[in-house]
Amino acid sequence: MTMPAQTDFAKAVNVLQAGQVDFIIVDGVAAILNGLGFTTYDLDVVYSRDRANIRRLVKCLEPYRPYLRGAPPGLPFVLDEATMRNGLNFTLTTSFSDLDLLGEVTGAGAYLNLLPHSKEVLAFDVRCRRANLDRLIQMKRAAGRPKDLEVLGQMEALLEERRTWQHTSPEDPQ
Amino acid sequence: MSEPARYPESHPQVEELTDAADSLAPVDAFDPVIEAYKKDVDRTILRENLKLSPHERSEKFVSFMKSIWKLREIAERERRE
Repeated sequence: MTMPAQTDFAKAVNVLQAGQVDFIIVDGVAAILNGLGFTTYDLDVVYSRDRANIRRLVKCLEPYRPYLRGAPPGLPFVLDEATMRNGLNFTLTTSFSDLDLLGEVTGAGAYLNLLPHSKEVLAFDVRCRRANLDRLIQMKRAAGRPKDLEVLGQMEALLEERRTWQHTSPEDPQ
Repeated sequence: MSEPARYPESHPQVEELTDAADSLAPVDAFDPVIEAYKKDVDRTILRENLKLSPHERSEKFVSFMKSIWKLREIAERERRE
Protein backbone atom coordinates (compact mmCIF):
# COMPACT_ATOMS: atom_id res chain seq x y z
CA MET A 1 0.00 0.00 0.00
CA THR A 2 1.34 3.44 -0.92
CA MET A 3 1.04 5.91 1.91
CA PRO A 4 -0.36 9.31 1.00
CA ALA A 5 1.60 12.49 1.55
CA GLN A 6 -0.86 13.64 4.23
CA THR A 7 -3.65 12.09 6.29
CA ASP A 8 -5.38 14.88 8.17
CA PHE A 9 -8.81 13.28 8.46
CA ALA A 10 -10.02 15.90 10.93
CA LYS A 11 -9.26 18.58 8.36
CA ALA A 12 -11.02 16.58 5.63
CA VAL A 13 -14.20 16.13 7.65
CA ASN A 14 -14.14 19.75 8.83
CA VAL A 15 -13.74 21.05 5.27
CA LEU A 16 -16.72 19.03 4.05
CA GLN A 17 -18.82 20.03 7.05
CA ALA A 18 -17.93 23.73 6.77
CA GLY A 19 -18.85 23.53 3.09
CA GLN A 20 -22.32 22.25 4.10
CA VAL A 21 -21.82 19.12 2.01
CA ASP A 22 -24.27 16.26 2.50
CA PHE A 23 -22.06 13.21 3.01
CA ILE A 24 -21.83 9.99 5.01
CA ILE A 25 -18.52 8.56 6.17
CA VAL A 26 -18.14 4.91 5.17
CA ASP A 27 -15.50 2.17 5.14
CA GLY A 28 -12.44 2.36 7.43
CA VAL A 29 -13.05 5.68 9.19
CA ALA A 30 -16.73 4.81 9.74
CA ALA A 31 -15.64 1.47 11.22
CA ILE A 32 -13.26 3.30 13.56
CA LEU A 33 -16.04 5.68 14.66
CA ASN A 34 -18.14 2.57 15.37
CA GLY A 35 -15.39 1.26 17.66
CA LEU A 36 -13.05 -0.82 15.51
CA GLY A 37 -9.35 -0.79 16.38
CA PHE A 38 -7.99 -0.31 12.92
CA THR A 39 -5.99 2.03 10.75
CA THR A 40 -6.66 3.47 7.31
CA TYR A 41 -5.03 5.99 5.02
CA ASP A 42 -7.99 7.43 3.18
CA LEU A 43 -11.37 8.90 3.94
CA ASP A 44 -14.30 7.42 2.01
CA VAL A 45 -17.56 9.32 1.86
CA VAL A 46 -20.84 8.74 0.04
CA TYR A 47 -21.99 12.15 -1.18
CA SER A 48 -25.41 13.30 -2.32
CA ARG A 49 -25.65 13.65 -6.11
CA ASP A 50 -28.04 16.56 -5.69
CA ARG A 51 -26.92 19.37 -8.00
CA ALA A 52 -26.56 21.94 -5.21
CA ASN A 53 -24.57 19.49 -3.11
CA ILE A 54 -22.17 18.80 -5.98
CA ARG A 55 -21.68 22.56 -6.30
CA ARG A 56 -20.90 22.88 -2.59
CA LEU A 57 -18.56 19.89 -2.71
CA VAL A 58 -16.57 21.24 -5.64
CA LYS A 59 -16.34 24.69 -4.06
CA CYS A 60 -15.12 23.51 -0.66
CA LEU A 61 -12.49 21.14 -2.11
CA GLU A 62 -11.10 23.54 -4.71
CA PRO A 63 -8.50 25.21 -2.40
CA TYR A 64 -7.09 21.77 -1.51
CA ARG A 65 -6.04 20.82 -5.05
CA PRO A 66 -8.03 17.62 -5.61
CA TYR A 67 -6.37 15.37 -8.17
CA LEU A 68 -6.84 11.81 -9.39
CA ARG A 69 -5.00 9.41 -7.11
CA GLY A 70 -2.44 7.28 -8.91
CA ALA A 71 -2.65 9.28 -12.13
CA PRO A 72 0.52 10.78 -13.61
CA PRO A 73 1.02 14.46 -12.78
CA GLY A 74 0.08 17.09 -15.31
CA LEU A 75 -3.18 15.64 -16.59
CA PRO A 76 -5.79 18.30 -17.44
CA PHE A 77 -8.01 17.11 -14.58
CA VAL A 78 -10.21 19.63 -12.83
CA LEU A 79 -12.74 18.58 -10.21
CA ASP A 80 -15.57 20.86 -11.30
CA GLU A 81 -19.33 20.40 -11.44
CA ALA A 82 -19.27 18.98 -14.97
CA THR A 83 -16.61 16.43 -14.03
CA MET A 84 -18.59 15.34 -11.01
CA ARG A 85 -21.84 15.07 -12.93
CA ASN A 86 -20.17 13.05 -15.69
CA GLY A 87 -18.52 10.71 -13.21
CA LEU A 88 -19.72 8.95 -10.10
CA ASN A 89 -16.93 7.65 -7.87
CA PHE A 90 -13.65 9.56 -7.56
CA THR A 91 -10.46 8.46 -5.81
CA LEU A 92 -8.57 11.65 -5.10
CA THR A 93 -5.53 13.07 -3.43
CA THR A 94 -5.91 16.44 -1.74
CA SER A 95 -3.52 18.56 0.30
CA PHE A 96 -5.09 17.22 3.52
CA SER A 97 -5.58 13.49 2.79
CA ASP A 98 -6.57 10.92 0.24
CA LEU A 99 -10.29 11.21 -0.28
CA ASP A 100 -12.72 8.87 -2.01
CA LEU A 101 -15.95 10.51 -3.14
CA LEU A 102 -18.53 7.81 -3.80
CA GLY A 103 -21.79 8.54 -5.61
CA GLU A 104 -22.85 4.95 -5.08
CA VAL A 105 -21.38 2.04 -3.22
CA THR A 106 -21.90 -1.70 -3.59
CA GLY A 107 -24.38 -3.00 -1.08
CA ALA A 108 -25.56 0.42 0.06
CA GLY A 109 -26.57 2.35 -3.05
CA ALA A 110 -26.52 6.14 -3.13
CA TYR A 111 -26.60 8.78 -0.38
CA LEU A 112 -30.37 8.66 0.11
CA ASN A 113 -30.34 4.86 0.29
CA LEU A 114 -27.64 4.92 2.94
CA LEU A 115 -29.09 7.81 4.96
CA PRO A 116 -31.52 5.65 7.01
CA HIS A 117 -28.58 3.35 7.84
CA SER A 118 -26.39 6.11 9.23
CA LYS A 119 -26.21 8.17 12.41
CA GLU A 120 -25.04 11.68 13.16
CA VAL A 121 -22.22 11.71 15.71
CA LEU A 122 -19.77 14.19 17.15
CA ALA A 123 -16.36 13.27 15.73
CA PHE A 124 -13.29 15.21 14.60
CA ASP A 125 -14.77 18.22 16.48
CA VAL A 126 -17.83 18.45 14.23
CA ARG A 127 -21.17 16.74 13.88
CA CYS A 128 -21.03 14.38 10.93
CA ARG A 129 -22.72 11.24 9.68
CA ARG A 130 -21.20 7.79 9.71
CA ALA A 131 -22.67 4.58 8.31
CA ASN A 132 -23.99 2.10 10.88
CA LEU A 133 -21.91 -0.96 11.63
CA ASP A 134 -24.44 -3.48 10.30
CA ARG A 135 -24.61 -1.71 6.94
CA LEU A 136 -20.80 -1.44 6.81
CA ILE A 137 -20.62 -5.21 7.25
CA GLN A 138 -23.16 -5.76 4.50
CA MET A 139 -21.23 -3.41 2.20
CA LYS A 140 -17.97 -5.24 2.84
CA ARG A 141 -19.62 -8.61 2.29
CA ALA A 142 -21.22 -7.40 -0.94
CA ALA A 143 -17.87 -6.09 -2.22
CA GLY A 144 -16.56 -9.66 -1.89
CA ARG A 145 -12.88 -8.75 -1.75
CA PRO A 146 -10.56 -11.33 -0.17
CA LYS A 147 -8.52 -8.53 1.44
CA ASP A 148 -11.60 -7.53 3.47
CA LEU A 149 -12.06 -10.90 5.17
CA GLU A 150 -9.87 -10.14 8.16
CA VAL A 151 -11.49 -6.78 8.82
CA LEU A 152 -14.91 -8.39 8.34
CA GLY A 153 -14.05 -10.79 11.16
CA GLN A 154 -13.20 -7.79 13.36
CA MET A 155 -16.37 -5.93 12.37
CA GLU A 156 -18.60 -8.90 13.11
CA ALA A 157 -16.91 -9.42 16.46
CA LEU A 158 -17.50 -5.73 17.18
CA LEU A 159 -21.17 -6.10 16.26
CA GLU A 160 -21.49 -9.00 18.71
CA GLU A 161 -19.81 -6.95 21.43
CA ARG A 162 -22.08 -3.97 20.75
CA ARG A 163 -25.13 -6.21 21.09
CA THR A 164 -24.09 -8.00 24.25
CA TRP A 165 -21.63 -5.84 26.17
CA GLN A 166 -23.27 -3.41 28.58
CA HIS A 167 -20.71 -0.61 28.79
CA THR A 168 -20.88 1.01 25.37
CA SER A 169 -20.63 4.80 25.50
CA PRO A 170 -24.09 6.39 25.82
CA GLU A 171 -22.97 8.93 23.22
CA ASP A 172 -22.67 6.16 20.64
CA PRO A 173 -25.98 5.69 18.79
CA GLN A 174 -26.68 2.13 17.60
CA MET B 1 -32.17 32.80 -20.79
CA SER B 2 -33.66 29.40 -20.19
CA GLU B 3 -32.96 27.40 -17.04
CA PRO B 4 -30.18 24.89 -17.51
CA ALA B 5 -31.38 21.30 -17.68
CA ARG B 6 -31.66 19.92 -14.18
CA TYR B 7 -29.41 16.99 -13.52
CA PRO B 8 -31.35 14.00 -12.16
CA GLU B 9 -31.32 13.83 -8.39
CA SER B 10 -30.15 10.27 -8.51
CA HIS B 11 -28.25 8.01 -10.83
CA PRO B 12 -30.41 5.79 -13.06
CA GLN B 13 -29.06 2.70 -11.37
CA VAL B 14 -30.03 3.75 -7.86
CA GLU B 15 -33.27 1.77 -7.92
CA GLU B 16 -31.40 -1.35 -8.96
CA LEU B 17 -28.85 -0.79 -6.22
CA THR B 18 -31.58 -0.20 -3.65
CA ASP B 19 -33.07 -3.56 -4.58
CA ALA B 20 -29.62 -5.10 -4.38
CA ALA B 21 -29.15 -3.65 -0.88
CA ASP B 22 -32.51 -5.02 0.20
CA SER B 23 -31.59 -8.47 -1.05
CA LEU B 24 -28.26 -8.56 0.80
CA ALA B 25 -27.60 -11.43 3.14
CA PRO B 26 -28.58 -10.66 6.76
CA VAL B 27 -25.80 -9.00 8.67
CA ASP B 28 -25.35 -12.04 10.90
CA ALA B 29 -25.47 -14.65 8.11
CA PHE B 30 -23.03 -17.44 8.93
CA ASP B 31 -19.84 -17.48 6.85
CA PRO B 32 -17.26 -20.07 7.95
CA VAL B 33 -14.37 -18.05 6.50
CA ILE B 34 -15.29 -14.93 8.47
CA GLU B 35 -15.88 -17.07 11.55
CA ALA B 36 -12.33 -18.36 11.24
CA TYR B 37 -11.00 -14.79 11.28
CA LYS B 38 -13.38 -13.76 14.05
CA LYS B 39 -12.06 -16.23 16.61
CA ASP B 40 -8.64 -14.52 16.61
CA VAL B 41 -10.00 -11.02 17.26
CA ASP B 42 -8.79 -9.37 20.47
CA ARG B 43 -12.10 -8.32 21.99
CA THR B 44 -10.49 -6.44 24.87
CA ILE B 45 -9.48 -3.74 22.36
CA LEU B 46 -13.01 -3.60 20.99
CA ARG B 47 -14.44 -3.23 24.51
CA GLU B 48 -12.01 -0.45 25.34
CA ASN B 49 -13.07 1.35 22.16
CA LEU B 50 -16.75 0.82 22.89
CA LYS B 51 -16.35 2.63 26.21
CA LEU B 52 -15.28 5.74 24.26
CA SER B 53 -17.62 8.18 22.55
CA PRO B 54 -17.28 8.51 18.76
CA HIS B 55 -15.47 11.82 19.36
CA GLU B 56 -12.96 10.16 21.67
CA ARG B 57 -12.48 7.40 19.11
CA SER B 58 -11.75 10.03 16.44
CA GLU B 59 -9.20 11.72 18.73
CA LYS B 60 -7.52 8.40 19.49
CA PHE B 61 -7.37 7.62 15.77
CA VAL B 62 -5.92 11.03 14.88
CA SER B 63 -3.32 10.65 17.62
CA PHE B 64 -2.41 7.16 16.37
CA MET B 65 -2.03 8.42 12.80
CA LYS B 66 0.26 11.22 14.04
CA SER B 67 2.46 8.58 15.69
CA ILE B 68 2.64 6.64 12.45
CA TRP B 69 3.71 9.78 10.58
CA LYS B 70 6.38 10.53 13.18
CA LEU B 71 7.75 6.99 12.84
CA ARG B 72 7.69 7.35 9.09
CA GLU B 73 9.66 10.61 9.29
CA ILE B 74 12.25 9.00 11.57
CA ALA B 75 12.61 6.03 9.23
CA GLU B 76 13.05 8.31 6.22
CA ARG B 77 15.61 10.47 8.05
CA GLU B 78 17.63 7.40 9.03
CA ARG B 79 17.50 6.07 5.49
CA ARG B 80 18.92 9.37 4.18
CA GLU B 81 21.77 9.47 6.72
